[in-house]
Amino acid sequence: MQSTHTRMWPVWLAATALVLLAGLAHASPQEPDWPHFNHQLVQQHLLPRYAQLDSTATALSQASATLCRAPNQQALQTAREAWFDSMQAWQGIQHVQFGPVQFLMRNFSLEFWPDRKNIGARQLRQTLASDLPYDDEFFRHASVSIQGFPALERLLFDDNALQHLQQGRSCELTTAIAAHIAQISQAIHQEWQTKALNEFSPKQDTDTAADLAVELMASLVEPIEVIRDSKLLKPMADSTQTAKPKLLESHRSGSSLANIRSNLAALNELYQGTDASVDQLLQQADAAELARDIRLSFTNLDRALSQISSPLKIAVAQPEAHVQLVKISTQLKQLNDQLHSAMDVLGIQLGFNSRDGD
Amino acid sequence: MFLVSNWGSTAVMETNRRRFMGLMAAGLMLPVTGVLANTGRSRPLLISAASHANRHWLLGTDDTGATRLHYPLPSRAHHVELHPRQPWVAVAARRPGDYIEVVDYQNGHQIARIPVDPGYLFNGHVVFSDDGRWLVSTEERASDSAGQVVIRDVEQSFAIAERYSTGGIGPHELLLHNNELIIANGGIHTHGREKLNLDSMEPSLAYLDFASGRLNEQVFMPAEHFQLSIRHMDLNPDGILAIAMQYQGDSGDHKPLVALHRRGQPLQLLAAPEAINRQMKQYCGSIRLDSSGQIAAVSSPRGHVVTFWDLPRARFLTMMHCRDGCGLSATGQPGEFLASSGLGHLYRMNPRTHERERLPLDPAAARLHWDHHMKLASV
Repeated sequence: MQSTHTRMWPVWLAATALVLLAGLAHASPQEPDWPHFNHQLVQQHLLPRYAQLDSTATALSQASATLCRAPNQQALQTAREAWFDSMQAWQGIQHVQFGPVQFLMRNFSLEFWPDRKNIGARQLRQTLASDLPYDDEFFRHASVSIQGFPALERLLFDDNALQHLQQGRSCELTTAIAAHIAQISQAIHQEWQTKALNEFSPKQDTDTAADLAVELMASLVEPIEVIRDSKLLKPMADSTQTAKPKLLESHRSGSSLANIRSNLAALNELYQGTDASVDQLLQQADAAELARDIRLSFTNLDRALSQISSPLKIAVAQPEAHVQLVKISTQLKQLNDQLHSAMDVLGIQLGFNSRDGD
Repeated sequence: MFLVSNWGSTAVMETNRRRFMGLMAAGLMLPVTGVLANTGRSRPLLISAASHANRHWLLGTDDTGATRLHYPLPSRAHHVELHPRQPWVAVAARRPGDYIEVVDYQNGHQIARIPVDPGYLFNGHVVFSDDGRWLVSTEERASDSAGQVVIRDVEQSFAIAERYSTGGIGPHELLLHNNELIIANGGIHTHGREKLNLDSMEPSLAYLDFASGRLNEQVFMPAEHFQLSIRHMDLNPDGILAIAMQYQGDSGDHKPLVALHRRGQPLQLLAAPEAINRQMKQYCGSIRLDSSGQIAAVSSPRGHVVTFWDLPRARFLTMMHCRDGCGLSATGQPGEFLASSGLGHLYRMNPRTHERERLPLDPAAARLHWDHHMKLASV
């Protein structure tokens, strides 16, 4: 064996590589003040949005209870509006996928989507046919597909919703799901208030803060691809003939487009709407041009989406709108690329093993 | 640099083959007696492939977080495997791979760089036989991804001694236990990294006799799950093989991602509760058992979670958050694991106590993307 044992890489070479690497580690211009950055984003972006989810969910729970005391058209309308407000509040903070929203699978409980196998419909039928009480114990064991906004949407926005709500256990379940959403939303909000004090204080140590900043950055960057792929491209399919409007998120209530706009408005705020922001960090890192391009992308996307005149479930099957939507998906791709470039500029690594499989 | 150059000739291969078969017949597969002879003041060394900005290294970190090994590699690598007798680590190029590098992890010297045979590709995984004489790799024929295990003689400059068919295509991780090779036939025909046969995959688990290559048993993924690629696995002392899979079908499907297998029985598919299963994003990166062999840790880097499974009870235990976490290794402590991430983080995790502790790393190592698999050695 000794004959094969040649000494090719002297120790100094390894040492040189280490020195080079150490150089790389300190190559970024100036490490941002992550404790301050995190603190501002949590105080001005996350907490207000979780507060909004909490309060709209409480209102939804109350509107559902009122509806079910005396199911009538007007009460139904009020409950639908409350559902819409609360769903938009969720769409406005859905991009945050770490922290309390992850505990106990709350994110999936609030919205199990996409549901390609139509699990929600089957679960809903079974639940309505069962005689179990819809209590906490029920929700502990129930499928997530029956726990959140999509199940409630089926109950409130069905063509014969009022008729159904007046018979069987539909109204009982509606009230129970709405109360469950309110409970989850309140828990997330409260837990985030504690988390904000403990982990997102401006006095947090720099290393921990740098790690937490990565989670915030992921909340900004990673949703763009999801919006493009799941919320637009899958339902659009290849053409207006093959479009699958039922794959749209919230198509029953006709809020698919509003959802996307809420998502992007939230991401735009996360990008530049707080006192410390990614936009500022880019400018400080001599990437003002990229920062401007990203701002422009958000503006252009919002304008393009505002010009889609019909509900998305109709638009995906209209040739003219289809062209506009293709353009929007291209703009989303561009924004995605820009945000990834921004991460490169800031030296933020969001994923490596998650990018490519093996 | 030493290049193994005599692997090509048929005559040489025939000689090696005879030597291999003679040794097999003589029963010279000795049990491991000790990891290293000179372990008077031994300390753990965690070894992994790592990358940064298109440069690639074999990295060794001790338990203080200090970098002890920092060895440049020609391209991105995948699995690392320790020699049972020598302080050597074999690191396999990421598929489609063209090298296996064997390195002395104590002094950072190259032992060998093994090139791939023309017309074949390394698939990222290797093992050594218990006696350290043979290096075994999964490979595939470049033209059709036909699976091969290739046995190289460590004492003959890593010359090829045997080539066996794996009975499937796109083989990935392999294990060698009691003179039997266990191969995960992923079932995917690839060209470069492009997947060509997702509609007609036939993933399987193959058990081959090490000495003869005879197929002792092959278990196929049931037809209704034909797109579940079997990729990584680990074996417990009671003969339970724990398997981690990757699903190639519709992103909305809710498929089991973990399986158990015992010889002679069908695959037992396990799914985490639906929402957790979703969180795993249909993708498992690595699977390792704890030192007791009772708990499996499964990394899901796309979902940023590590899930834990109770083997004797065949059920999901719990999950822990780990952004981009992939590399796993058991520590000597039952129930305890180390997990590395592409973000250069290293954690100690204990699913029993739910503890997750970030371990210290020197700043240069923490800037690297730690790749798919890692192994704990001692120096």
